[in-house]
Amino acid sequence: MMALWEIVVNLDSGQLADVLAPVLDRYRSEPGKLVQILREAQEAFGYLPPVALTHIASSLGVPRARVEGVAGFYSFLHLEPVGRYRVLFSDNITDRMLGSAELMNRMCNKLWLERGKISEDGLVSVDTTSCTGMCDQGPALLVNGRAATRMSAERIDRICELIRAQTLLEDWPGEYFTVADNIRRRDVLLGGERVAGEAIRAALARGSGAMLAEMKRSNLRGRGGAGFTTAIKWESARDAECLAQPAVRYVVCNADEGEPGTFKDRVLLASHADLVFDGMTVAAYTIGAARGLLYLRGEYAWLLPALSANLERRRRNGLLGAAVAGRAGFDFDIEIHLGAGAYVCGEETALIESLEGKRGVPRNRPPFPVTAGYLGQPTVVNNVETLCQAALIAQQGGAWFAGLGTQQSTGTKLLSVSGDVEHPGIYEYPFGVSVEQVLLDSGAGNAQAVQVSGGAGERRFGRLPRHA
Amino acid sequence: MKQPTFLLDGMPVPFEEGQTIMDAAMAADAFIPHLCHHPEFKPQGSCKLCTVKANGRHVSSCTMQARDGMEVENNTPDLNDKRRTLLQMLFVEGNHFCPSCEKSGNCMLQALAYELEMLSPHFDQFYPDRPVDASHPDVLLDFNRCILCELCVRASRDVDGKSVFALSGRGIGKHLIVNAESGRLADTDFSLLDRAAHVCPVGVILEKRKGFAVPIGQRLYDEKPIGQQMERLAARTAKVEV
Repeated sequence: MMALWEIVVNLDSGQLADVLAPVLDRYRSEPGKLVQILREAQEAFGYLPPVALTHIASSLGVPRARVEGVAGFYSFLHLEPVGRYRVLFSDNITDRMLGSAELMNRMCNKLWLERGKISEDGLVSVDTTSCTGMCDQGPALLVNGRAATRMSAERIDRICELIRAQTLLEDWPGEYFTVADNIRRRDVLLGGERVAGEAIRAALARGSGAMLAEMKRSNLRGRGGAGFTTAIKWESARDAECLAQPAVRYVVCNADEGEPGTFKDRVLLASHADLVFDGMTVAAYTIGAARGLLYLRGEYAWLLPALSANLERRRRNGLLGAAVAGRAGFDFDIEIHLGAGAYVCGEETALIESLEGKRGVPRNRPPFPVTAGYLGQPTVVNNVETLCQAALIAQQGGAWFAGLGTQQSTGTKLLSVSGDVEHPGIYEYPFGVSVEQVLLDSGAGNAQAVQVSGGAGERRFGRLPRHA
Repeated sequence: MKQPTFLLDGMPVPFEEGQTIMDAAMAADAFIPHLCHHPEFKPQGSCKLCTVKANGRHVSSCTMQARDGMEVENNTPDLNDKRRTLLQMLFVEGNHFCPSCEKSGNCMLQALAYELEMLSPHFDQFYPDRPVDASHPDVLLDFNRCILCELCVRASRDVDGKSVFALSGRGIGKHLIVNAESGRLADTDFSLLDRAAHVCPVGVILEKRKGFAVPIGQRLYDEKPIGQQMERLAARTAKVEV
């Protein structure tokens, strides 16, 4: 656990360069990879000391102020020393209902800490962070970026002991870091047994034009919240002229699931990653994209090893790389970009800025990403769930999909249900399900209010079932 | 072919294809309040003061391209009310004490507050702690007055080719930084001759040893309200106005 940053003040520039060299090499000192470089540099030093920013800036050939501007933007990047153990309590209403505030106070008292301040010995800091997407198994927290769930007074006391004894995270009880899927209702998306690559082969058999036609027939609308018709997005990117050379189109999977209360993308990435990657590949084939990027929110960094291993497996199985699924001329690969704690990056243009190694500030539109997105090239940005549904459409056709749900909103929807309910978790329903039904199924007796689709969504009061 | 026009508060405004509502309005001598916009630099639409209603939708006029036949509302009580609120928020977020400020009378923020009849800050003052940077031999940086318009950022990067300035932090913690490990302007290659030294619409970037050369009362916006200075605002160019 002894972090390098303790001796960073004594590092001369040669030693600093030695520490940073592997990180810079891994990303070929590309300014576009700045967020990834800063993340990994921080892993080496514990925080981002000024000398490291200067070195990174000169290695990348960009102004130092830009590097500092980016480092200062993301809440998981630190310009000041932080505790060797950084505990961040998820601060969502559902965590609070489960007692997170009391648990945080308990921890602060046990450790003789003030919230948000680093302990005098530099050992530990405790603070809050935005919803970590564990609303179905809170109160949750992040410790050094690792997601821990189902906190209790007992667990908090034990964690305080582990921190005081400076126990390595790897030696903490594994059950603290267990993340359950909690799938409560399965429909067409979560219900089927699927083989990786099946959807890709189906799309290839159809042909890209016919695949687009199926998407139109399906009337699939984006599952990220705005409900924009996916086929229109795909068609626009497919038809858009590449403004930069070499001409490349991009498919971006928006896995920056930051809306407080949502955790469906977490479950899809944890247990249905092949369907997500199939969907990205189908999108790529349909619009003629050569590269895919998955923007994974920093809070979900714990998913990264499994996702990376999955991509490796897909490369070995010919589902990524040159001639995907044996189709000559269809070359496509996917890389994962980790966010660093910025809710705004869920907005697609801010997400693209972040992918380009910049501050995640939304762009002015037009132009929209479909004509000028990542690196100014035509880019489709789709939500995780949208891409999964697209994979289903590739296999089973648009007409089948349009037969599910309602006329305006076709297909099924994954609902993240949490709060004062007996069975929090993921519920997949065809569109058109009533709030009452969801409350009955999730065991929400005497509900007084329901918050639909996150903090910016609508509230429903009254006339809710008395008891399940 | 007939030149395309849009209606700005009922007045026909001609425009060239690709021009924004702001550009066309400026060329037609029509005033749309703005802070982060400057004809010399790429518009970024961040201050939102130039928000107008185009065909019923709120848009930033500095980034929205004009379209033939568009109906644009600009000088309406509703929009001016929202603009006044934006100004009030800018005032309380920083430390703006006009009577003691060297820029008083030359300051766009102050001029717009008069123009839009802002009579009080309305919100509680934040009184943020923003130390000044007096390290540079020729220039003082008083961050207390920064409104994060990024004009100095754009000027230094796009005209001077130096990138002396950038924004760091986020949300209420967002702030202007300079391009030096020490964080001091003296350790950058900034010069009084830079374009960036002369674009600040408020009183952050000030020339040292030159105070109150023109008496208050005879300054830019003392002579005429900002709303009647469109010609000058439109003509702001790369000339160094020392």
